Amino acid sequence: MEETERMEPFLKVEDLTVQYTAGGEVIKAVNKVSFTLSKGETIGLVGETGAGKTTIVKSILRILPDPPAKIKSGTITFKGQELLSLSEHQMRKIRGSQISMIFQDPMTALNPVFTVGEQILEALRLHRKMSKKEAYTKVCEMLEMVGIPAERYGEYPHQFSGGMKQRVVIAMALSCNPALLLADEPTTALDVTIQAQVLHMMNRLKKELGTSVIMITHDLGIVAEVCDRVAVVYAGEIVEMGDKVHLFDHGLHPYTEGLFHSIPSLTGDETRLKPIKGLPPNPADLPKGCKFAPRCPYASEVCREAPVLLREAEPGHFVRCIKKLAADIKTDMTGKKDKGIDIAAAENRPQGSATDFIKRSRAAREVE
Amino acid sequence: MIRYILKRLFTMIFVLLGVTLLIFTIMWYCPGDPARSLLSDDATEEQIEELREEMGLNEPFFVQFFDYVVKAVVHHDLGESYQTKIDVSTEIIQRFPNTVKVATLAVFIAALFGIPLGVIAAVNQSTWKDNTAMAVSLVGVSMPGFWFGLMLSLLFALKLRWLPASGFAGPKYLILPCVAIGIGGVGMISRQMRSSMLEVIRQDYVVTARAKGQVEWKVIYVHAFRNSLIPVITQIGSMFGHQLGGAMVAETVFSIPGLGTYMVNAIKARDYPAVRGSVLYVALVFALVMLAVDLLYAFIDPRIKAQYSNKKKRGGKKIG
Amino acid sequence: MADQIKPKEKSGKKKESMLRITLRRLLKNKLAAAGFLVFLLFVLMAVFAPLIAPYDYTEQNLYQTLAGPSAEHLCGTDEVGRDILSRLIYGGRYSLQIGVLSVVLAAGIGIPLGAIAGFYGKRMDDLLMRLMDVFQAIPNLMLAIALSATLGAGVGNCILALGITSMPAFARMTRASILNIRGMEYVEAAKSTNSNDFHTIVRHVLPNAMAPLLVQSTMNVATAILNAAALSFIGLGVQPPLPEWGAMLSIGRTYIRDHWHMCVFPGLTIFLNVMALNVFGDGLRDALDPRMKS
Repeated sequence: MEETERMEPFLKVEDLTVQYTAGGEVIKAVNKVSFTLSKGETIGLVGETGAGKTTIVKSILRILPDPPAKIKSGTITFKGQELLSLSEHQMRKIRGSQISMIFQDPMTALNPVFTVGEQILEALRLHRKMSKKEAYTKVCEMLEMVGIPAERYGEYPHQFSGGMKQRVVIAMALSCNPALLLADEPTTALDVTIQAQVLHMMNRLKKELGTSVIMITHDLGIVAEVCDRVAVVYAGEIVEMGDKVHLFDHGLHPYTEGLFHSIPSLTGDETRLKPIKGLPPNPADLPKGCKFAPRCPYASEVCREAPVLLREAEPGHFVRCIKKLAADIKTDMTGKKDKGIDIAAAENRPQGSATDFIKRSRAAREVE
Repeated sequence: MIRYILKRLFTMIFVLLGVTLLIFTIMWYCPGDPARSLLSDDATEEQIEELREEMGLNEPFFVQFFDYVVKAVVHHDLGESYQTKIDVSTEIIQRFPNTVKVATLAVFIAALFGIPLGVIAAVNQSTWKDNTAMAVSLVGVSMPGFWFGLMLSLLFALKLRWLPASGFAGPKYLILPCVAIGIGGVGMISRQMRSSMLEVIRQDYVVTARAKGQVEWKVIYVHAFRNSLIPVITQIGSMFGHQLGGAMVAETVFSIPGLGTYMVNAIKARDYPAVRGSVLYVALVFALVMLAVDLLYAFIDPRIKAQYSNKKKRGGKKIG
Repeated sequence: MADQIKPKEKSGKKKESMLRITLRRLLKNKLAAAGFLVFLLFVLMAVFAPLIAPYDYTEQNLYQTLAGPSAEHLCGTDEVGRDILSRLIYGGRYSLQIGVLSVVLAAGIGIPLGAIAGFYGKRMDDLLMRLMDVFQAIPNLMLAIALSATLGAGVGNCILALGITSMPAFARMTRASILNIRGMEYVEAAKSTNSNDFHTIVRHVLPNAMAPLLVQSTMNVATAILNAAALSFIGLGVQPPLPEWGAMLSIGRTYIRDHWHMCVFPGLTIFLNVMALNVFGDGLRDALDPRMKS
């Protein structure tokens, strides 16, 4: 245990800042985002459309369209390698092989003029020294693994349904056994029944292959099902991050609170949904202080004046809110007042309650 | 697929009938009397009338029309030129290859330069490369082809004496006319290619290819290129067709004995059978080219292929 | 009642802001603005030709025929000693008139036909589109040549020939836009409130199909100028001694070996006009494209 604590984390994103330039306006899509991910772990990035979630994962793979997008600052360390300083050539060796991505819309993620087999084969042949025949066998295996009969190798994407296409995309992403999988709302475009199948399959494959996953979603149900930890993203910032169970039970940030209130509860405790009032801020013109302040029921002058830092409310649970932090936990955070927290260090601390929660949730899942 | 082709050929018959009717109507209202212009000025009214009767010009419109269609379909006979007394179809078949040569080479030049220019512009959107490529293509689309031809022959034929200014006696004679016509095509194709490519490189599957770790030139030339080709091929096809009909201007400039010069002379001489025959012939070839283009789609895009054969499947199901 | 007013108000408001957005974008695009200015300049020169042109376009000077460019005659003189610059300035009256009016004619016939075909669909659509098929089965210039042979020479006939030739493109484009729009809710809404067909087409459908048509029109004026020149060049369309640019080229061609200026200047004029229009059309398209931000 002690050794793993000191080890460099599997993936560490620090101070990532990404901006888009469009018609003279600078759109601040991602602002100083930091988080870590350990091997085999799944983190969920949750937030509204346009919050910058996709930009964060695309930066990791360095496939943002440049121009207009530009990674302004930050580091992304993956297995001890700093990705942002790699040459394009070195980066290409990582894309698709070490890190791969599942896109949001399976209907458009596959090239319509190539057969699905060819498209999976391409990923394999790029990174693995294999004869055509070996690769073909492997592709057939991959297809079977995601539940598509190998005979459909030579069919074109338009001959597949949406759910089947997403399976193809998943097979493609997993073909080289990546250590890290970036899943951008992999089930949003699918029917509910198909969603469950795809999620179930992803869970199974994750366990089998030991892949770490960054899962983008705005569906808290999916978070509950597949994630270990959650990071709530708002206006290009992480506003709250922590263990899934902990966050579900003790969400601190008013935005997280709002997110949870804006989904109908199955237990039927609430008679009315409480939608979050207002709209997300214009990313070209962000508020000076807390970016959620304009919509926040608790906001005061202090919130509007200066940016709020991400602080550790409880071990492993970070929140970017002055009000809630003061109200919920009386512990003073002096000494860390003026700078953000070295998350990596903080996270590697022995985590009493948080690990319990994980254990509990895992146990609960197994019982189910 | 075959069913689709047959269906297209079937509709083509009606379109060509329509074209015949249209051109027949246009020529019907053409001022002047071909009989009169064929005879010398001192011919008597009786002589003219006699000739009109003989040429069938006194028959009512629809009688003439049906007569023409029946002859064309049954005997492949497009009539006899008033001027030369030579069979129109014979003359067209003699001259048409020249026009096709010029049009093919011009379109080839246009595609050869236009496609890469468009791709480069799209891939380097809003950079100096894009701007330069688009400036070139803007000059291309704005250039009056026949004037450019004149300028080329002024420079390369009359001043530098590198190339012949007119005539049609070998490959050398093809260069200037084809470049003159081709430049407009370079402009049109590169613009189309650019906008189509810009559309495609924003697609998710292009990002997918990049996310796989594919090298950039393969992302563009393997994944994006084939998808962006369809509108460009349509344009190349229709450009070829229009070139067959528009060749007359370039042919006039360079005195090429093609279908264009034939038709221009025929029009000036009120030689109706020659005009009708030329138009009909070009329309037929044009229609066939566009059919070929549509079939080419099927080889590029499996979705279109599926569409073509779907109809067949559905038909089959009904029977079964 | 309320339902009927609401969408109208909405679309009115949207249209106004759309127009403003388009204008703002267009002005921002310096190249497009320059294209427009150049074209405007040519139009103004043609309109005020008698004030601007240094000589009358018919004025012959037999002592100075086929003279090259000089201070006296900036673009030289032609075979009967007429000032080429003055002829080019006057010539805009023919070439530009043909270009613009033939497009007005084409749009005037094509848009209603396309609207009818797209709006009513079924048999009407089939009938009209097969008719367009026939027109489009003949290459443009060939049809224009055949038509102008029948109609005879002259500016009016040239306009007619070119207008009929480019009409099917407008019909097709209108039809396509309308098919796109027809299924949309505000048209359904207008239909459900029993407003008559004509009213629905004119008030609700056409304005929304306008953007691509506007771009098409601009580009078509450029094409029409090119085609008019080509027609005159081969001796149909407008004929010498009228100073139409293509007609001037067709005479200049005879003298090209020794008197290049007779060919160069008319061609350059056509080229500049067409390029200005194309640049403006490009800018217009970008400005009207809702996908283009900024």
